[in-house]
Amino acid sequence: MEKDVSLFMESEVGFEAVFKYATIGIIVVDEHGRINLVNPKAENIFGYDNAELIGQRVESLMPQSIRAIHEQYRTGYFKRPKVREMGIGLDLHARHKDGSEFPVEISLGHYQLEGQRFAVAFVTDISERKRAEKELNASKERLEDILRSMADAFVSLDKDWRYTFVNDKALQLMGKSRDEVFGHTMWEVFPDTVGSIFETEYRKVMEKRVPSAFETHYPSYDMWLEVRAYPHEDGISIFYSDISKHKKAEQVLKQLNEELETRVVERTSELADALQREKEMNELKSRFVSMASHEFRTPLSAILSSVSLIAKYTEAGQQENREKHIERIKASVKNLTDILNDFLSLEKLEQGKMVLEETSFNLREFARDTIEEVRGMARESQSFDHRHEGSEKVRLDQKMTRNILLNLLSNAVKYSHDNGEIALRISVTSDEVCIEVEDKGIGIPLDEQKHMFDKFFRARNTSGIQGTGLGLNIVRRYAELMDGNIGFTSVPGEGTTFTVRLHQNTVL
Amino acid sequence: MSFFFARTASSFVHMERILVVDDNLDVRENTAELLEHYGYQTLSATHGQEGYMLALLTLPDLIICDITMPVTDGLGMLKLLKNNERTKNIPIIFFSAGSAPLEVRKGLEQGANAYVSKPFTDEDLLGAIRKCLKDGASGSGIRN
Repeated sequence: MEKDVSLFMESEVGFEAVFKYATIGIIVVDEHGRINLVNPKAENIFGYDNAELIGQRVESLMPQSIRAIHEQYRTGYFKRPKVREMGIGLDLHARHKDGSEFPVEISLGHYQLEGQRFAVAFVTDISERKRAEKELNASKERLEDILRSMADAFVSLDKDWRYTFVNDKALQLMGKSRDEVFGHTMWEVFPDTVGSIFETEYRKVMEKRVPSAFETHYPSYDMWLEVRAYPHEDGISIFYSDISKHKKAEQVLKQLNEELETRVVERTSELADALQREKEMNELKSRFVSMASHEFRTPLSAILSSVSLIAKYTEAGQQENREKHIERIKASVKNLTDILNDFLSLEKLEQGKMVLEETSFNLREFARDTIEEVRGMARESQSFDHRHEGSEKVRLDQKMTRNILLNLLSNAVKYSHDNGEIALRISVTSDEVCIEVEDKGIGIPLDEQKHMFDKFFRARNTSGIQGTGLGLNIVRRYAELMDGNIGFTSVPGEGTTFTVRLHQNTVL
Repeated sequence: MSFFFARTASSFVHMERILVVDDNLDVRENTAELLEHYGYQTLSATHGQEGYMLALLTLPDLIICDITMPVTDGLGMLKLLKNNERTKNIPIIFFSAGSAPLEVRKGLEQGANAYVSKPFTDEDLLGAIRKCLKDGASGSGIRN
């Protein structure tokens, strides 16, 4: 610099040009501190005319507070002058003619001329720059204020994934202190985000410089987060919103919707079932009508012809004939009643109207009475063998038990030959009642045995024997209602044994 | 013969013989009893097989038979009767239980002369019988 200045001094023209049009102020001061030369820019900076400045002490251009110190400094400088470059200058202030102070940047050079030392001060008014800096700082602070006070959590990461800014909300969300976060990388603070959607998305933002937004559940905090990440010059900015409440509401709504849908499906299926039941019921009824129209006509024929015959037996000696037909009418009416009862029982079962009513009673006596009832319809040559083992008292539904006994015994009577013995064996234990009805009758054809409990099914060897094909179906369903079961063994031409097992809870 | 029994009513000089075939004891016995009251001689059988054999043996003037029966049903018996020279001209009345109109129609198509619906009054039965016997005597079948 010393050399450069000397060169300027050697070339008058060069010096003039640089001096006059320089965009920085140039002030030449002698070793007494007097202003020797001032360029137009310096005049302009300080607000003086050239004439006003020449010969003045340079300290007049400085604030009062530093004038004394500057004098000492200047004296020292001239003793050992050195180049002080601009930019490394101190935070200096100068004084305008109007008394106002303004920031300047000053660098110093020096030279000797005709044995005299001169210092050259290059002065730049940095008011504008300072103002800009101040404004920049202010706006930076304002921005940070905004980020700090934002409702959303906000963090900024540098290119090495270190936290450079974390607002209070973010700290609150993280549940961490500023020290735990600042200067650390995201992967150190949140090791569980490595390999997660967070890492994938942030890397995309960092490397491809594109923004990203996503929603995710962060399991460690059991929190739903809405995340928006943006690239910036030094790394990325990330905004977090806790949307757990919103998500929960959404999930509740979703769940409600699903429940509603399930209920609609269930209801639809219930309706379909009801419709199906209704359809089955109708089918059942039409099958009954068809069966009944056939089965009713036979006993009705017997009744009608018996009535007609009774009318013909008018003589006193014909009482026996009349009684025979009266009995025949009674039996036929009973037959009709049985058909109706079967159907009513079935309908009740189909509609789920049967309710179990358990009572305690003596099963041995009950069975004996039932046999007597059946004996009325049996042929005289048919006999009954009744055996009972175990406790006589049982706790069962009486009506259903009676129906089961009646059905099985009357079947045994109907499908047995004359002289055939019918055995009723009952054994009672603490939790089970076993009823066995054995006949030596016509048996059930082997290939038809699997259909024995189907509604309206009648084996082919039963034609000519009145029946609805409903009895065994009803018996099985009663047995099942009583938490029991029914089975049979049968040899065609030899006989059949039905076994019913009923569960009972207590023996009283 | 152990498999059938015949009743007689001695108050009529010329008694027409009627075979009743029905698997139901009450209907079979009552029908026979009624017919005897009206002056017919009767024979009974419990199913088509029995009925056909009895018809061959006794050559009745008329056969009344049920449709639904074990062993051989009404239509089966009809076929047997119509295929045999000795029995093919015996008039046949079907009992109809109302549930099998198809069988009744088949029976009429295959040569049955009439049908009587169960339950029947004396008049229903006698009317059909008299018509069949008269037509049978004059040599032409009837369609009821």
